[in-house]
Amino acid sequence: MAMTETRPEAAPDEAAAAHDSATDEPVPAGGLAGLLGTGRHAAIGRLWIGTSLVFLAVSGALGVALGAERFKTQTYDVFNGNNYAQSLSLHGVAALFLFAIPMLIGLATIVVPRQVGAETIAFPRAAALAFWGFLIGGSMVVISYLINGGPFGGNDKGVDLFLASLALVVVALVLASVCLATTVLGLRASGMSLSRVPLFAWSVLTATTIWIASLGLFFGTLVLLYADHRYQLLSFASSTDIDRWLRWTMTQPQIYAFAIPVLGFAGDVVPVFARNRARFRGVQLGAIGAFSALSFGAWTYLAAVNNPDLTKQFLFVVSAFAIALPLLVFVGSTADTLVHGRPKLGSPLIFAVAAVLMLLAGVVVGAMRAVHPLELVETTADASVSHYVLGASAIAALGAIHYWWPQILTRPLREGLGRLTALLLLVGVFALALPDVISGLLDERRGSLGPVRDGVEALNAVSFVGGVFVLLGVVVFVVNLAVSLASRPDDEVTDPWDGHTLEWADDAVAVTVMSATPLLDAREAAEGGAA
Amino acid sequence: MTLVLADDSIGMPPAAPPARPRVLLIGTGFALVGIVMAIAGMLGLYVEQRAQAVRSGHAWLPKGVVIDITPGNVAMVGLVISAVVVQWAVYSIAHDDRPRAYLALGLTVLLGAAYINGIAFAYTQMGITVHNPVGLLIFVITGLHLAMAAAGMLFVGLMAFRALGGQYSGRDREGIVAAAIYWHVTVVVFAAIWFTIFVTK
Repeated sequence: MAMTETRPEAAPDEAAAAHDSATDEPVPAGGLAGLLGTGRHAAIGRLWIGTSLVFLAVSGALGVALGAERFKTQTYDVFNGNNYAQSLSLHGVAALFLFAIPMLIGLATIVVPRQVGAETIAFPRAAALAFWGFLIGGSMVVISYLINGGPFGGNDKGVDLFLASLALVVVALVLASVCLATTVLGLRASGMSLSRVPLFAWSVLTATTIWIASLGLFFGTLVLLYADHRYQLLSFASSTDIDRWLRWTMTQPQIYAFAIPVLGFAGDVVPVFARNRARFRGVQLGAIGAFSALSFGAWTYLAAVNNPDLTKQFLFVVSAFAIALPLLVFVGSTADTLVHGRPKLGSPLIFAVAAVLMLLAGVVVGAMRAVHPLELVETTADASVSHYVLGASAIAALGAIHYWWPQILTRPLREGLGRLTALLLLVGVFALALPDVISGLLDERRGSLGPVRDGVEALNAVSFVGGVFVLLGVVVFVVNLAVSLASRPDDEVTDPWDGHTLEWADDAVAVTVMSATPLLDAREAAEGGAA
Repeated sequence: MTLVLADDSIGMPPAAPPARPRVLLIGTGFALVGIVMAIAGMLGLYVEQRAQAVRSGHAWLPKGVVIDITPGNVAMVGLVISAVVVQWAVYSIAHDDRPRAYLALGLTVLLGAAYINGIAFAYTQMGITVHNPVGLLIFVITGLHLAMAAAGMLFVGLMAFRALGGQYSGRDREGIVAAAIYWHVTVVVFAAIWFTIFVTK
């Protein structure tokens, strides 16, 4: 049976490519022309992943340098004055808009169409356009900081460039999100109702919906700030105030929205490595949906600009605590699957557990931050929430590359190095973020470089060491990746983990799906028949 | 593993046959969410800033600035008519009445152009510049909406050309319906702008 009544649009380069006379198979264009003109979702996804890893290097290196500055505030002077604020701003912007979101989009671009049984992503040309827009915009964002632009910048044209290029990045991210959300809703295989969609695809649907809405609003803000700055009115934001308008995207509840796919990744990985059916799958779907809804933070943007301390707003406080509920429900149901299964310790499982733990830690610190008497807003606890949540996204993203290597890399990654990466990242993110909560409780202000209280320098040192661990984890991952890419593609292995969902099938296109775990069902049916 | 035709071994009932994928409709819906949020956020800021000015006893509009309601009304009425006309296009294509569908799609684009002309005229009458906060907000909000309307005209025009190429019919009119929905939302968003900026000033 055909997957759909109308087959989805073929990728443009495949449709236009010459045909092999022997096999009648389309031959995609090779070289640079093939790369620039590609509409194949796997190629576009790899471009997203590769580019976001480059931006991760920028953000990560800056983060460690910033950590070194805070390590001995009176001794080291890696940055000075505005440079420190600018570098801190670039670190945050690059981590969120140039690494975390694009990385998740890249993974989803490769995996989601296969998970839902689609031949390709919806609107493949738009998906390609989104990537190239992101590449140009992201590069311009970094360049704008290099010419003394960006928030806290002294070069007016550089500040204008920052606002315009970040707006381009946001448009690209929204466009890519539209393609992904449409793929899940519109291109599912026959019989794949939304309740049967793999959890990662479901999480991508809910996440991209939130991203489209919130980043749409953020785009409007950037247009306003650009016009305000371009015409030198500065009634809304001078270059030093721009950061206030960006910050709602980097703090709770909105920051949680950029970690929603963490839950989908864990939800897909745990049953496979537990060698068990996902228990309470419906509950997990609901939990991911509720977590997504509560992470929508666009409603805080105006209030946050006027006064970042929202701890006296009832809705903010309630949502800060309420979001922990679906997360705890998800963790409980996932743990139940693990406990009732026969777990095997693969690197993707370690990544999944580590990512969920870090997200849980981020939500706990976020809830603490909403308690007014603790006075954690505008302290280093803000950075702690961001580090936990974006750390969770990074861990899940690297874990997803380990898990879905047949689709992403076509070459296996080394298991030992994978486990080492996961452990380094787990320890690193934890050590990076936890001291900032304690410093926050000691009233250490966010982004401050002045003299610090007793003990805070030691906490900063621990945080710095955590940052180094994270960097080491990324280096080990890159080495693993390089070793993998240097090896020959392993076309024989399509399902190294005995996966449950459709992306592991050889030919996932012409199928009717009758359950949430079609491959597991088929395997059990085959084993039952053989017995 | 090639075999993926699975049994219903976890007791879920067989799903209903899939609806024909409505990819363009779904994609249009998601894109509209982003666009509407961009304009709604700015409109919210406008209302908040105006309320602040009123609370502090200051005049909201700068001296010498008059927001005449007439150009706004004309633009609003034009857009409402265009919404009816674009729905006429959907009705016509649904009944395989292609000549009237082409006419309606062409008229929609024309009325869109008239709307842009109307707003441009309103700019000249307001006496407001981008060099004050109120003017900046008005230009950003209406400018974003003008971009939305221009994209809508492009969308409607593209679907008209596709229809001319024989792509749409009574059985398959997804593109025309998607363009019509986009246009309807464009009109609704302008209604909010019209009420906020032109009516309540």
